[in-house]
Amino acid sequence: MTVESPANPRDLTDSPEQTAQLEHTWHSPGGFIGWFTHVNQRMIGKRFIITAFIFFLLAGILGVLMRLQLAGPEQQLFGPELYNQFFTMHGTVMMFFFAIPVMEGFAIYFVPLMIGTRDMAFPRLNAFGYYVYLIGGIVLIGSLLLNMAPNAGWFNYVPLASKEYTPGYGVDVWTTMITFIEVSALTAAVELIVTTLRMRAPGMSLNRMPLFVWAALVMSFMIVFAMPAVIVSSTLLILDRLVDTQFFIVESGGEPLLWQHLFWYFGHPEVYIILVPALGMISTIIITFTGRPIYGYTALVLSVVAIGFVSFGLWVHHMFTTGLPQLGMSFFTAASATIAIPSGVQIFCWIASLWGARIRFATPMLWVLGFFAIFVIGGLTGVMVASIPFDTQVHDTFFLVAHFHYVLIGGAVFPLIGATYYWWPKITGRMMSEAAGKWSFWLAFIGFNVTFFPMHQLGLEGMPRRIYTYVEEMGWSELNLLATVGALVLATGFGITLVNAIWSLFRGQRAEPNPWGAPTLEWAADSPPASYNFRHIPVVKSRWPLWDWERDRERGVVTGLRNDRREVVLTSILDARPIGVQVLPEPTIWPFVSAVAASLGFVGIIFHPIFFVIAFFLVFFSLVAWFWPRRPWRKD
Amino acid sequence: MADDVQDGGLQHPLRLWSGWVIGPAAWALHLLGSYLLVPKACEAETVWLLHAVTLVTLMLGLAGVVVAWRQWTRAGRRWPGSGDDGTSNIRFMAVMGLLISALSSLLIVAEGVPSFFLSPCL
Repeated sequence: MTVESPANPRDLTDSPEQTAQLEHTWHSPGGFIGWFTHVNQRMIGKRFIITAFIFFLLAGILGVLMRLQLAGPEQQLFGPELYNQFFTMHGTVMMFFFAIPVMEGFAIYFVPLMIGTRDMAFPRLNAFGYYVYLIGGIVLIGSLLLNMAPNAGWFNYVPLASKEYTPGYGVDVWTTMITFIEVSALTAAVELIVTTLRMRAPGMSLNRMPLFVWAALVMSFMIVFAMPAVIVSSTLLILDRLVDTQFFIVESGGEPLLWQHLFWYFGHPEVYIILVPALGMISTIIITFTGRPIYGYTALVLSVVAIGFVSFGLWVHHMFTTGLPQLGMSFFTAASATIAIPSGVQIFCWIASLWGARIRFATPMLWVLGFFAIFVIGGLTGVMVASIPFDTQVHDTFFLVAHFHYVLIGGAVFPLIGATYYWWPKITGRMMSEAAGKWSFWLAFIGFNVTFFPMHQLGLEGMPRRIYTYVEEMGWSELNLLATVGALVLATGFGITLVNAIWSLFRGQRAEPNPWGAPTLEWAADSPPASYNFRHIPVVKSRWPLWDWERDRERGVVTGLRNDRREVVLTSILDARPIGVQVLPEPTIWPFVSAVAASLGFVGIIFHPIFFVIAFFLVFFSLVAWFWPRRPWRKD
Repeated sequence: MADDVQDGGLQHPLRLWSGWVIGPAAWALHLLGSYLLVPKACEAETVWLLHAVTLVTLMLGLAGVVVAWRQWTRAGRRWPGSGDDGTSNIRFMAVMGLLISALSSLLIVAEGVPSFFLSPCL
């Protein structure tokens, strides 16, 4: 393996046969069975993204249905039991099956491209994570169709969620599905951490890493530290429900608040797990559409890292009305208020980057500017509810509903849609329509504010969350009707993007490798990238390699990697010096088989403990096949 | 100065993470320690226990600041860029560690203030 600097990578002596061989080496098998064997990171990333957006659509429909039910007083579109299932499913699917997986999906697809490598560190684990997620999602949605859906809210508080107060399979399904999604998230996090720290292109030291990659790295560490808490809590709950342990039963010395502590120790970082990658997307889009380096790279990295760790010290602010000691809660108020500092630093760095720049107001940039308006309002109400006296007043009201939708839709979904427009040409090789994109943005922006801004007022007027209807005398009718109209406009806005995406696949203008003039490495690959991502692994000398190459008319590449097996370059953590070559495994069906076997155990245990034993052995055998060593006499 | 820069370049890579780890660890200890000690402070009818936790963890957090500051000084105390001079990476790590530990210390102070005003028995 050597590092060379030809004027153009094509100048290296690549015969078409060699390129064809490389293509063949990294090729993903076709056909129905072949589909289940794919391990390439772009295949898995794309599947995560598409599946997550399908869940977004389903959960969005549930949201619109709830808004229709609340449009007027004493409506009887559906009853309280179904309403309970709908809000539980809406929250659960949005948080667990859309928000985390879609961010992971973008990270899985783009981190290897942005750091200039050909795949992720453990491709088969990647595939396993996807199948576990897919099966979990299908079972959860299936439970709604079978009227077995969970109905105790997305945070599933005990004692409401205990067997005594919520009999039936709903809560069991919830706890099991959460375990599915946690396993999937943990596999993706481990993948992303190892890939980012060990497989960056030579020269891409930590201080040159793209900001989205930093964000994905922080997100991954947060997943590793946050998710085990909810795995533990959901396991304790299902043990309480299935085998009569007493972890949360007060009469036997259990503690319901233990659930809240464990859940929110995960649940609050979860919000930031969703937000942090979106922050990386915003920085990425701002750099490209201002056409100049971002202001305050170090400060932006610092902010993302700081948000990552401070977010673990906020969880008790979800429990301000549980009767905990006031002094104890005040520590969490202090941390909740302090997280505004790194968030503010980011906002000011972005403003400084936009200041005086010749901004191209293309669709991705519009979504980012929409983020600014919405997220700042969400952040302000966040500082308000960090104060215990105010929080006590608005706890469990629509004010909270307004706050977290401003933070989550403004903070995560708007940048995400912007990033989808931005990276769509790279993923599909086609451009989405700019005109439709702008219509989509303005309808979503107006619709969003018309939906959620009135909810602040409704909350202050005392309208509680999670009621399926209300009487006219309460005086909430007009604002609720307004919110419902807004929800329809918002749904239309997002719907236009969906139509735009599908339309572009067939009719969209073909995309150049770098249609936006961006500086990061993913745009050095073809659109869509070839199976091997990069014909030659690039060598990096600054934070903006593509702008360097354009200026210098020269680019460095790594040569000497074999074409006949899946080789990638390993580099050192801090300064990305080449230190070795890793051979990655080929496509295989065993991750899929393992995921099915594990799912059999997870789902089956709801009905009978024997499924756990059966699945244990099935998973064992599938893992043996998965890890079966290569024959030593084979040349690779 | 040239020797200092070289010395900075020879640091063991793991040491460059000190500021990243010491500050947040001190803050985590403060948050958990204080939270757990509130009932004890109520029983003992004194808040000195909480002040002591704040003081000790603040010292630890500031130690993170000092360690990172010294690394930064050795690497030539300039704002980190993305250059090829071999020390910009070290300066980046040191400045990040410095600011992370400083923010952690600020958090410890912010969380220590309520102990002066609120009774642990409320």
